[in-house]
Amino acid sequence: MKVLDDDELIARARTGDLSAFKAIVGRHEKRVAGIVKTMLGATAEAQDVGQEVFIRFYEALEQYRGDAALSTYLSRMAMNLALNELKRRQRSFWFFSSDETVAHQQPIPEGLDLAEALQLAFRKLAPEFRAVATLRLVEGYSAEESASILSIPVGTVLSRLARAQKKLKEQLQQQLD
Amino acid sequence: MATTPEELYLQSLDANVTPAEQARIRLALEQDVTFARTAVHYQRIRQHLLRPETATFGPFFPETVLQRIKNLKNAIDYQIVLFFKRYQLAAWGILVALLILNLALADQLSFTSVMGMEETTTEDVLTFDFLNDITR
Repeated sequence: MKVLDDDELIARARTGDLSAFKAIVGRHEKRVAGIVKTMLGATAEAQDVGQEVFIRFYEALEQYRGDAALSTYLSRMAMNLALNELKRRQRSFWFFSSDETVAHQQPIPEGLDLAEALQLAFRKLAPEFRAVATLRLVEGYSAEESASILSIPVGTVLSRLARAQKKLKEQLQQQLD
Repeated sequence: MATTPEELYLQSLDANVTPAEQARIRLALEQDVTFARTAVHYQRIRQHLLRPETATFGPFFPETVLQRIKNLKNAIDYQIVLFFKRYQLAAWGILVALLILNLALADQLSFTSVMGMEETTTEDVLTFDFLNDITR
């Protein structure tokens, strides 16, 4: 059976073919999950945001012109929604003490190995630093691709990456020595 | 622009640097033990961060998304929202145009005249009341 490319699947989905849209979801789930789960952690909110990415894309099928590759388009949408969710968590700090804000305030406990401590330190990064670190350092996008997804200059990506790594190193001094 | 060997080193991990800058990094790594150790720290951080396996949302994710889309499509609210989304710009345009037209034709700049309510007479109100009495 012929494997349809993204453009062909989108054309079919526009005619109401839900199985074509399901194929799009299946094909791009990993990419979206990587971004959303790194930004938000393996939480219920991450699952909701992941679903929201594809639902919004379905609603915008008619407007999608294909200027960017579908993977880039979905990655951008996933990152924007994840950043919105982080903002929502920060706002909720005024009413509740959320996991996000608690993680920001607490020092990294002693005795953790590097992998565990790195997870905590990563969550302490401000959203703009976490975003570039997620795309470049975790998901392995190039600096140019990261800039395209975040709609910022490559120079900004590089400077934020450098600052993010310095912050991580400062917090992980005990584990690294 | 990277100024210190550390900044230059970090830049070299994510972008191309010139041969002169590469030479500067190499020299710093050979001569400065602290910097060499810092470079190793950065490498270890990056190795641990790179995702070893592909992430997923768990089983049946595509099915869940499709079910939510079907639920949305079935909901009447969704149809109404879509309708307004499609025509909201035109509707706003018409509303603003009507208000401007009323504003231009009105004798005075009061709320009632702009909204066209000054045309409402006492008889209109009484007629409505009369109809209400009949239907009661």
